[in-house]
Amino acid sequence: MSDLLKHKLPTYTPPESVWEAVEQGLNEAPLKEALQHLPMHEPPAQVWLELTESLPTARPLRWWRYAAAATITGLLCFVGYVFLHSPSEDTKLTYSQEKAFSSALPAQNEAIDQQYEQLQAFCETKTPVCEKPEFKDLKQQLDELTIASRQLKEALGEYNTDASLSSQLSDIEHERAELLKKLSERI
Amino acid sequence: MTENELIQRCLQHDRSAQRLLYDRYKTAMYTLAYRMTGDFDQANSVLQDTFLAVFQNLSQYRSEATLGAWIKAILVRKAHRSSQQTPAYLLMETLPTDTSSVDWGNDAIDAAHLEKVILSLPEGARAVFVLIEVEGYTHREVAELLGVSEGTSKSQLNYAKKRLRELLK
Repeated sequence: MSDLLKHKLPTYTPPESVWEAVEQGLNEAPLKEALQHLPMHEPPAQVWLELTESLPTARPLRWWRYAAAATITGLLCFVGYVFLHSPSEDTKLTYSQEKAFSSALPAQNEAIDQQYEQLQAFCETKTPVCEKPEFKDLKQQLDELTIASRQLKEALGEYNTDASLSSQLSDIEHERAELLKKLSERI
Repeated sequence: MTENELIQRCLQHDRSAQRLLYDRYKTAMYTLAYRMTGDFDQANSVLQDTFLAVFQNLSQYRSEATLGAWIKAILVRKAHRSSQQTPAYLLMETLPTDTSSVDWGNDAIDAAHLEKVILSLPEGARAVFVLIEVEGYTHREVAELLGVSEGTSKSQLNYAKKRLRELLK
């Protein structure tokens, strides 16, 4: 049956263009091979820095607002209850004042930021020294630390109440200053 | 973290998630931007504009394509628009239509040298070559992304290959 079909059914010859396409694919083998190994490139850290400046910051969650309102209300009720039900007139009120030492606050070292901006401007003019691998490596570290510094400052907010974050920020600022020093020595 | 979780966190403007998404795609996208524009400064600008558009329009992303493909399409349009603004941009319609094949010989081609030669191609032809031969787009997709006809895409690719072969000899 199969033999019968094989001889009875028509056969077809592919158009020449099929072989031409196959031949072209074979001819291009060296090109295809080289294309697989083209170099990749890393963007500079500055791209992310500038991107974050254009992006909106996280919206505060609603539950957080409600929780804060509930806490304040509860606190007011408690203070009111204590005040109204105070047992005697002998109750003494005391107050104390705490002073935040400037050394405990994160270093608001604007000079480092200024120096960093100057360095950025310097390297934008495509100065050859900025293209040296060692310089680029140090600059990359500085860029990363600058991002970390900005994120920490953002997390700390205006009041700098978190001692551990403040300490981290101080360390980062110290490292940034060191890197800036090394970079300026190379310029 | 799965891609869906990452997207959801990015939609809530979570900066660490945005950074994670950026890190996941930055090298591939930056490399493509550089290959299309041939200039690192322009590639920086294209990458920045692309991710800004990605984060601003992420709510419009539908899972019909992968996230990487969606980001790449945005980047290609931006890189193409950016290149069009340069004085050296060669109008894509002005090249001759020639579909004869190119013989690449049998010798291995050095990839670093090939990249330099690709970057020396006229910008329109380079964009088509990179998108089709490196990124794997079809002529129809390229025509749609770059706003040209499929015929133009084909003739540009052939021109790019012939020019590359000449330059690599």
